[in-house]
Amino acid sequence: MLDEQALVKRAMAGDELAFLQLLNQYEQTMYRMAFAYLKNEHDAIEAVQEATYRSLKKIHTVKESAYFGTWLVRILLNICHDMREKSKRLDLQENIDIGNTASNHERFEMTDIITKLPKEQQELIFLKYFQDYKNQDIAALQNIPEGTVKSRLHGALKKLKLYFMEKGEL
Amino acid sequence: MKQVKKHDYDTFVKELEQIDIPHEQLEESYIKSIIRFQKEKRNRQRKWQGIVVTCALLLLFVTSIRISPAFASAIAKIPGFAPLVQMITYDKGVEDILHNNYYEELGLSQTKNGLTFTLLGVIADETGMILPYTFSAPFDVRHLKIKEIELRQNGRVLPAGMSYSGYDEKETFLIEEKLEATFKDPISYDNAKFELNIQFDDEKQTEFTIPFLLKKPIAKTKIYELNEKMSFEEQHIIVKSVSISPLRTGITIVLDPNNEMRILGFDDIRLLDEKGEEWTTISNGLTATGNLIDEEETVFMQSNYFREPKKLTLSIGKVKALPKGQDFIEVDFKQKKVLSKPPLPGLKVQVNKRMVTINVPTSYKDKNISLLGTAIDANGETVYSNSASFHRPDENIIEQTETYDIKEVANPVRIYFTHYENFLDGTQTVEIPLK
Repeated sequence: MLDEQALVKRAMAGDELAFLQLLNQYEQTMYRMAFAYLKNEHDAIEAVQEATYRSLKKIHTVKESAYFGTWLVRILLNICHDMREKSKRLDLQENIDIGNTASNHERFEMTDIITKLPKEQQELIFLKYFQDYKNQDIAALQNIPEGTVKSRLHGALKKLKLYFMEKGEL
Repeated sequence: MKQVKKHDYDTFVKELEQIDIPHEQLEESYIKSIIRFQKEKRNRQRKWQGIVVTCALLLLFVTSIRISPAFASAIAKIPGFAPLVQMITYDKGVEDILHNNYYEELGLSQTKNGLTFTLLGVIADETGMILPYTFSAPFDVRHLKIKEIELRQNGRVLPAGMSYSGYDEKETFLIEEKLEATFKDPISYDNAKFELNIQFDDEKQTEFTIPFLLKKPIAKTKIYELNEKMSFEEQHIIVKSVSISPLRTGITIVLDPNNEMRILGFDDIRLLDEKGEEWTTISNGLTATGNLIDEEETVFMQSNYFREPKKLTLSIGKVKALPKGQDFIEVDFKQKKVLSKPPLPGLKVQVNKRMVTINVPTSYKDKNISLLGTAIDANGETVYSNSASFHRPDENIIEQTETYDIKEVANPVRIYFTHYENFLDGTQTVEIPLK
């Protein structure tokens, strides 16, 4: 974590190479998040590319170097969200055959449900289960009590449980 | 609740893990974004500021380049750095050179017939020079070849080996590469005026002559005489000397003519300092001068010139050797016949017109190595090879096809091995007597 903070500081000072290193560290999370949202490689890469550009441009707005992970995830989530809304509108207009999307939907069922949760809960889930953060770390990162992290996760889980109950799987 | 929780998140993580990550495309996308960002920034900056940024970056990436090859390859795509960045990834000595600010920036540009050549800078020592350059045109230049290169000192052509790499397969308007000059003998830099002359093979045979002066002092090569004997299964060698300059470390090794086996090479030569840090042989570029068949060779290693270690140990192991008499093949090009080959496991030889194709077993993973060396005809004349190509029929075999110039050859021709993975036991070390 300390190493990362040092990198963030260098990146904030305009060191593009430190920034690249950070991107490499978050590559899995970023790309898989984007893919979970957008369901195809092309769009996921585009989202990551846009997030790279925006975060580079806005890196001086990172308030606390320890927040970098959440900050980056948030930028990407916003881009993914916008891109998905845009493509939804297009889907409606063009009445695209959803056959392909449906099979993808099944494959990433759980992921799909999670991307329907409120943004702050998604952030938590991606960080906790994907970047392997502990509740404690998340609490520190987001500057909220550990109890809040727990209750937010709990809330997310409850929604997921409801979903499965509706489906009659539990 | 607990169980539900576990099940759900496991599913989630599993789902995410199914998603393959297209690393290369992502790297490409990072670079595109950085270039986009830089362009916008540059428009707002004065030119001199841009230069300051360039120098800083050059120093910074030295510290971070070792992180991962993928990362290094990403940086290599940032305009302006490619020629040297590539070197850092495989040569620690070059990394030290940049760290110690031994690189001299030149930035000399010329434009002729629509072509622009820029000599970015130079790394010079008594043994050679590395000259990173860029070359651009308003059209695709990937197939534009260099016709001739000369490095001149005070008007005279320097006796130097010049090497450079081939270009990209992809369409490109800009080439970022480097020339590497290796001097036959150490040169003196006193009052030296240099000129790089480079001619391209375009329609107009465009030629650039770029004069340059070096302002920074040139590092003196450190030479250590050793004359230490080492033995591997009764086969003897003498480590004559070690010379360390910024670009390379040369280890001069002499073979004992009375050996029963002919030593072909050393697959494990390394230098270790008191902290256990290692420097190995040069993996890309000029690896040795001389020829072991003449019983003396200088093997080049990555330089540790700038480190000033307290203790330096040379370690030699994995010595490749074949019994004398079993270290060559004999062919007749006229009859298209292999007259003799030693009974080595897995060895296959074929002759076809001017070509000799040889297969040997290997444990080398990603690299190829030349299997055949000196060729001598019935009159004792050297037979020269025009080209060599390598192929891996499977991962455990190296196949080499060597094409010879056989116009005036007197058959039969004896071709000596330069590589066969028959290793002598043991690793020997010797301490370098640092002053």
